[in-house]
Amino acid sequence: MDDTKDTTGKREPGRTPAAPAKKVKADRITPGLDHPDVSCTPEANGNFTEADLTLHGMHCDSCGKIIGRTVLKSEGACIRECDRVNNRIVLACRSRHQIGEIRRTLLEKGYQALLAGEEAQQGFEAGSFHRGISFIKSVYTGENGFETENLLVIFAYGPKAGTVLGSF
Amino acid sequence: METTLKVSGMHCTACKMLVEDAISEIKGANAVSVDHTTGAVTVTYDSDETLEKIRTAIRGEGFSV
Repeated sequence: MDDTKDTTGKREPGRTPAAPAKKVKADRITPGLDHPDVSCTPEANGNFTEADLTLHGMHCDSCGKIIGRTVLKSEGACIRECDRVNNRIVLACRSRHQIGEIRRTLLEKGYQALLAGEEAQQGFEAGSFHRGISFIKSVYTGENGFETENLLVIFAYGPKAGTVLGSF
Repeated sequence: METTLKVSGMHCTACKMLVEDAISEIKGANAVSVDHTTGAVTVTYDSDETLEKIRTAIRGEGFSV
């Protein structure tokens, strides 16, 4: 499934020479995906794996920040190339497994990072997971116009039914 | 202590997630609710210093408080 390719950091036609990887704390990244801090270069002499990904669900700078930070929080991962016009990035990681992990994390945040040949699924968008949790919380707490539904929940499960959602 | 901050510049769910993430990284602070449509950000905090950190963090994400 993974359309990734292994490389040893050697220079390829059209690519810039490899340079030492930048170590940047994820919380220091304020600009979007195409900022130099995010667009770091993989370690010059180490093996790394690349994935050409098309991002679905990215529509603004905030999305770019979230995606960039998600990549940076994964040790050793970085973005080699970024095409904001076509929402395409080339992700460099230490392993294919790491690429899969990043893709899963992005999906949880509402972004689909698709490899070549994969098709976007409908229904995913930025924050869809959080919106789902917010909706359930509203029902359990009776906020945002869900008073009636909240009474039914209390009737069915008791007054402490919503405490399990407190951690979200 | 709990207060509601008026934050401008949030326009989508991604912005809301950024604000929530920024607040969650501050020790002693917790985002009770973030509404990107109204800009209302309700937070709990343990000291005035923490509240100032919250404001700074939100500004650091590119929003006005």
